Amino acid sequence: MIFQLIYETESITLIPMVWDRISNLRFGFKKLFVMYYIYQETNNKVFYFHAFIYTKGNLPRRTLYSQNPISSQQRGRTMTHTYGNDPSQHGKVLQPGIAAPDFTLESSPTDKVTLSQYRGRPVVLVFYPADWSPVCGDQLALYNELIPDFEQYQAQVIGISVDGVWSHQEFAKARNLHYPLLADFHPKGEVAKRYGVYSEPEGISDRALFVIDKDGIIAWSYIANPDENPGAAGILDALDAIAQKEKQGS
Amino acid sequence: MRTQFSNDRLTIEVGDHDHVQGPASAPVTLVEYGDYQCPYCGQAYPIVKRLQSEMGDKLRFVFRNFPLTQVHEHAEHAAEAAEAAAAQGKFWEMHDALYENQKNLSDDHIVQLASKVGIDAKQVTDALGAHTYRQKVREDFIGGVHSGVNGTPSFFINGVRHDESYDYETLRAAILAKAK
Repeated sequence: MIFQLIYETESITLIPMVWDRISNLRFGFKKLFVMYYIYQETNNKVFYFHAFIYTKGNLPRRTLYSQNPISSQQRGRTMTHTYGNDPSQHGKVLQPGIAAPDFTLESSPTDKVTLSQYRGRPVVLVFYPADWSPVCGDQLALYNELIPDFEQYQAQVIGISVDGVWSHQEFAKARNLHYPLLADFHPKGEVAKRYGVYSEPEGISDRALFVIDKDGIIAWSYIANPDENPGAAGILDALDAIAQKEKQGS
Repeated sequence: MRTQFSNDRLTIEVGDHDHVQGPASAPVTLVEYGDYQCPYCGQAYPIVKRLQSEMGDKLRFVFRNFPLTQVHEHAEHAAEAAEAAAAQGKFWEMHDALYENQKNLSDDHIVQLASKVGIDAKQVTDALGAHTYRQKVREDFIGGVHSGVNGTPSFFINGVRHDESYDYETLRAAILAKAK
């Protein structure tokens, strides 16, 4: 029903693309949780609806729920977030206000990074699906350019994917990246899972951003479409909001 | 889950700080965030030129700097050189020369290009050495980031980000849709 409505909007080119991606998954899932976001450019409002898709053989059957009424007037981009076999994972993407789970991961064959070592400074945690893929490269290159701007907020940017340290090392060298890339490699995707941004069917993390304040509390999070480069406007806005809040608090 | 979307509207209005071709009265303003060493921007360059010549006074074109300096080693100097050229009233001549010679943007070659388009080469060399225009380039870049620019080239048509392809047909259709 809702799918039909969306289908009639100007998102027409995007929804089938998203739908194809879902229905082409051949991972034998029994129940897949999907979330669509519809961004309405005209008034900057975000609508979303979610769906449980049950598979029966290779043909997905879908049940759809809408969070907001969606009219055919709405236009804009769609975002998806898919969770794997376990629909109970719904809602587990860590939200603002929650303490960011601490972790220690290798940043190079000889070094480790612990999130809490940055306590006292904001941290921009960038989960991305894979080293070397084109969108990741652009996205990470953009953050690389913005290091001086992040530093104005004393913020540390950290990339994280399920790739191993040797891949990270070559990737960082090739792209001239000046911030740590952490290997969420063993146990695979453990940290991504704790942040609720691991995609079980694909075995990679989502493209997700977390801005963590100096006390280790998540201040902002964002899940992007895997093929979308989310840019940095949201990150800078979140860092700015943290700085403003601190100014008011002091 | 709190979700926020990158602002995909141009946050910095077109103004005196900009390099502009075409009249302010044009029904369509196309803003490009570009990098002189980016091959995709190099591909977009003749497309924009073609649209400009076809649309004449109906299209206003604005170019802003978005150099990915850590990926493209010459991008920053190329951008600063174009700004130095602007100080001598020859921004577009230099802009075109840079894109038309994108494969070789070493400092020496940039200065040669400057001489060729009739700019005082010494002034360009000095400006590069002193990073006179670094701040201007950086302002363009940060303004772009706040508008949701995530790579190059990024186009905005009448202030709205053009997320589709920038091939000739698609870009032309998107522009004509706004020209009505």
